[in-house]
Amino acid sequence: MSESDRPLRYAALVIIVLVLAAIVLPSIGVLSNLGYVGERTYLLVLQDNTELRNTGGLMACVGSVEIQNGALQNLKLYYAPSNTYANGTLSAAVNIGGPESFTEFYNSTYVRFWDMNVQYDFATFAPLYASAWQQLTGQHSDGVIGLDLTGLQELLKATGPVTVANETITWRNVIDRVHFADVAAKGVKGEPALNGFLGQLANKIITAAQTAKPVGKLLLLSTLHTLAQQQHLLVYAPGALTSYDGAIQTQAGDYLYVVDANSGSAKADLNVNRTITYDTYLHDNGTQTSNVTITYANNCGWTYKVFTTTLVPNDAALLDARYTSYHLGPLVTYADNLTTISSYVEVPAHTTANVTYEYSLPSTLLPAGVFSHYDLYVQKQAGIDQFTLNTAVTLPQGAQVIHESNVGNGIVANGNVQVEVIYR
Amino acid sequence: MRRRTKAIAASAAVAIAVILAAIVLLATLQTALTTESARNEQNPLYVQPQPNVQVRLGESATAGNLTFRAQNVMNGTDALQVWSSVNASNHYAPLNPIPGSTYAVINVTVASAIKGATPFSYSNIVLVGNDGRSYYANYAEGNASCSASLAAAQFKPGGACDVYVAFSIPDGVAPAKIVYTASNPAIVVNLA
Repeated sequence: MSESDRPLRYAALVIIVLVLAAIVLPSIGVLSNLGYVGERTYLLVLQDNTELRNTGGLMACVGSVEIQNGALQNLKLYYAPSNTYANGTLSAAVNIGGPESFTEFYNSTYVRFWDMNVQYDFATFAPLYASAWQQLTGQHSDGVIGLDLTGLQELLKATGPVTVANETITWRNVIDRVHFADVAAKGVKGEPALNGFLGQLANKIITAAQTAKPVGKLLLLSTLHTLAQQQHLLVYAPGALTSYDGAIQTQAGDYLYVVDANSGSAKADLNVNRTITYDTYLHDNGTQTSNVTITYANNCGWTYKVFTTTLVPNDAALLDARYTSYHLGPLVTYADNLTTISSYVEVPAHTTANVTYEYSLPSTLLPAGVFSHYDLYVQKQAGIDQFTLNTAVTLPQGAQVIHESNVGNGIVANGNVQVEVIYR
Repeated sequence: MRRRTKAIAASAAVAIAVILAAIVLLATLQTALTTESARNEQNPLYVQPQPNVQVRLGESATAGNLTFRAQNVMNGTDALQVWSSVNASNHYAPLNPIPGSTYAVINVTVASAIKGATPFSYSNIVLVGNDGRSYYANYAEGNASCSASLAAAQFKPGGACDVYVAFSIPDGVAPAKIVYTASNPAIVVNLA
């Protein structure tokens, strides 16, 4: 190695150091934001997805946890409707300010704190929740973590059974046990035993995770990742993990997102099967006409009542709405650069009901060289275990399909679905 | 030229070895995760508590202050029908079967002796499947006169309660025993 190589070697060293710094420094920032370096306080919300709400489920328990250098501590949980967490001088009514579909349909901008998850996604709800929590309790937070009952069930699959107050809790009985603690069992003052039960259960799961063997820890990590992808676990942590906040994912092309809120039919939603059927007709001039039908199969022994909102691309024009059961609506509003079509629908016990919207769209086609490219992004609502998707794309006359994916009937989806058709 | 060819061949061999090692490592890791997951998902194997008193379906057993009699065991559709009849007004426990699973519902009569309140928790009833595993109670409903006692886990002196307890069990597994584990001796009801 000659002396003349020295500047070259220094330059290479500097480049390596800069590259490493570029990789490591953001990681330190992310770890710091998550509480692996330093201390962070996260708000918690357990969403009961057997009683669906827009962001995943009824707010059953709320609270907070501190993460100090990666260790969870000072877990506090409250039964959400109790208001015991609120400062005595403050009302737990919250001015939500939107979305317009909700405020216009229910003619109110005020809701109870524990009913405030009416936004279309967790990423919009979380900062409002954190702000309302700070007003009610004085507690500042660095982010919000949401988990639903499916998430709890999957975590127990990963840890194995745990014992809570001499009772064995497994993934098979946890959802029913949560409901028993919520409805039937009472604490010493006659209050629901839910927060006590969940607090002990959470501590046992945390202990099981901390004491697990390496393969058990890896299994838990894999489970958490899957739950986040399926939006049973939601993390709003500004500056870190932005892909886990359940945000509306509008992209170029066509878009469909059905958001349902159980409207007074209790723990029905695991017994209601949803099918979304989407037929779109691409016209010669590039515009399109679409029909979306949402089918509810209610297997419960009582009427299922749902306030359903369908989010479609901006500039959609509703042409027709058809229903097969009692309904109110449709109501057309606009949010997040999308058009929203809302209805209230009742599905009698052991029956099936359809809601169909027909609408026109300006061109959503994407440039793809010499070919035409149709993309449809179907977003899954947080809290729903799965839905069935049927899609049909009718091309302009004379067009030939080059490639298509996720077109057809009976796609059972537990996450978002990308439909794609390339044609010439 | 030959040296260069040898160097390329050696590099390719090293790259293939690294890729193969990574594939083997990932496959091993995946197998370990699948095994761990399958193991943790299963309910624990049943270990008979000692001491115990053994009876059959429809027979009473008394242990301490508690008399326990299992009257009936229902499975599948029958279980859901019975559940909806005893639970018609409760929309908070609709019993949603997990895919690949069914509910078994047992009907037991529990009575306390005259002296003193008797602690009783439905969660201390274990259903043993014919696969030899223990299944733990999901939800319970009592008759109108005792649902409050059931929720409070305390029976008043002389009180009796007709209790329906639901268990989630895998498809293909049949109930083999019902065990009340909190009494001394434990009460074992043999269903075969």
